[in-house]
Amino acid sequence: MPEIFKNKSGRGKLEEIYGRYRRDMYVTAYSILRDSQAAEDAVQNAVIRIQRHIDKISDVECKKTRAYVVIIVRNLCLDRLKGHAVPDSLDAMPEEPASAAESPDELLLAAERRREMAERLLRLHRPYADILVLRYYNELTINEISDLLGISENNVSVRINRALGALRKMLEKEGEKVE
Amino acid sequence: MSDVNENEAVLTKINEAQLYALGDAYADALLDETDVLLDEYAELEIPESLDDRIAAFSGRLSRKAARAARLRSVSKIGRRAAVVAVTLLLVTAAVTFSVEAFRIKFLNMIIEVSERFSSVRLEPTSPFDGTAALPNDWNAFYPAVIPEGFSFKRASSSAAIKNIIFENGKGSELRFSQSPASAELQLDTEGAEVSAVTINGMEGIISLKDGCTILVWHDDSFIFHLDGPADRAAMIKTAESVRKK
Repeated sequence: MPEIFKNKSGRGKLEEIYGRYRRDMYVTAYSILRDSQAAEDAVQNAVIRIQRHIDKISDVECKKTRAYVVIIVRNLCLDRLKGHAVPDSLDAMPEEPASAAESPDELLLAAERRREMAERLLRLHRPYADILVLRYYNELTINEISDLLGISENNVSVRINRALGALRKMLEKEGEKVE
Repeated sequence: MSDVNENEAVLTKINEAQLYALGDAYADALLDETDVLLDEYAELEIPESLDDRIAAFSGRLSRKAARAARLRSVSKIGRRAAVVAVTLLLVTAAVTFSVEAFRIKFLNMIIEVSERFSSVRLEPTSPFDGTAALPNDWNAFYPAVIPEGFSFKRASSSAAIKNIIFENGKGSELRFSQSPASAELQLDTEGAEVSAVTINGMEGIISLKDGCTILVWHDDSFIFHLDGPADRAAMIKTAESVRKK
């Protein structure tokens, strides 16, 4: 690995990000594309896009930045694949185990419950969940997400709406009434 | 109620803070998956070419940033220099117009410089190859440039006086002569605009009358004479080009 990525002094933020997460990025890309050259291209593409919005990253060595980097690489790889698997239908929600209805406050305070919801999103609505995370966790604008993932702003808005729609259905199934 | 409105209602219910918490949990799950992948592909090596490509990209960014920083610095220095120059100009102007003697001298210099500059721009000159045109035994001076439109006509000498005549094909002639310093010259200055002039450090006078310019200057050994229909600046330039063959 070139010294510029190892040597902390004089290293910029971009070099720091790449030096820290190059393995995460390359392995994620390779696991989807199964081709080293294609994976290289995808990682470089991701780095270029990350650099355009480098100011959005304040702390390099944190979970949020690591997830951000992985999400970008993964979405670029999925876009590169032609005829990749269509995401599971939004309606095909797994049956919830019978449980007592919980109030929104109890739902929101229950970390375990949040993790279950997150895992549900992870399993069924990957492209939409990624955008939801970029929007509300990484706090990017529609325009920034559009540029990072190489999709139209309209597409970003649609995916966000669909992700929120999935959440609505989850809440309804939890017994929460939406006005 | 439309889907969009319903989603907005969801958002009001699950406010952005809760979505942030949801994103945080999702990130945990995502990175757990990534760790599994890293274990699965533990033997997979990252190609050196990828590191080289990113390093090259990073290098280009650094050079671009350095160039932009230099341009900003030059622009800043340029602006400061402009401010200093304008300040100096204003101070000079204030000093100039508050001290009469300095004002007169300064303004005369400006007038002389602008006249010289504007005159040269009006009438160009062209080179004259005296070594080729003049006789082989012409052991005297000649102008190396002459006003545009003139060409060599003839050269003559009588006693110690050397003459070179140029013509412009329209019936006008330009005359250059060289005389010993002891010779007497008569110059018709009645009704003429006469002023002192310096030609290559030699004292002289220039006379303008009826569209004709006469220029006479001298050193310790010779008196040089130039007259013709060219303007003041062209004649001065012709005089300054005089050299020994």
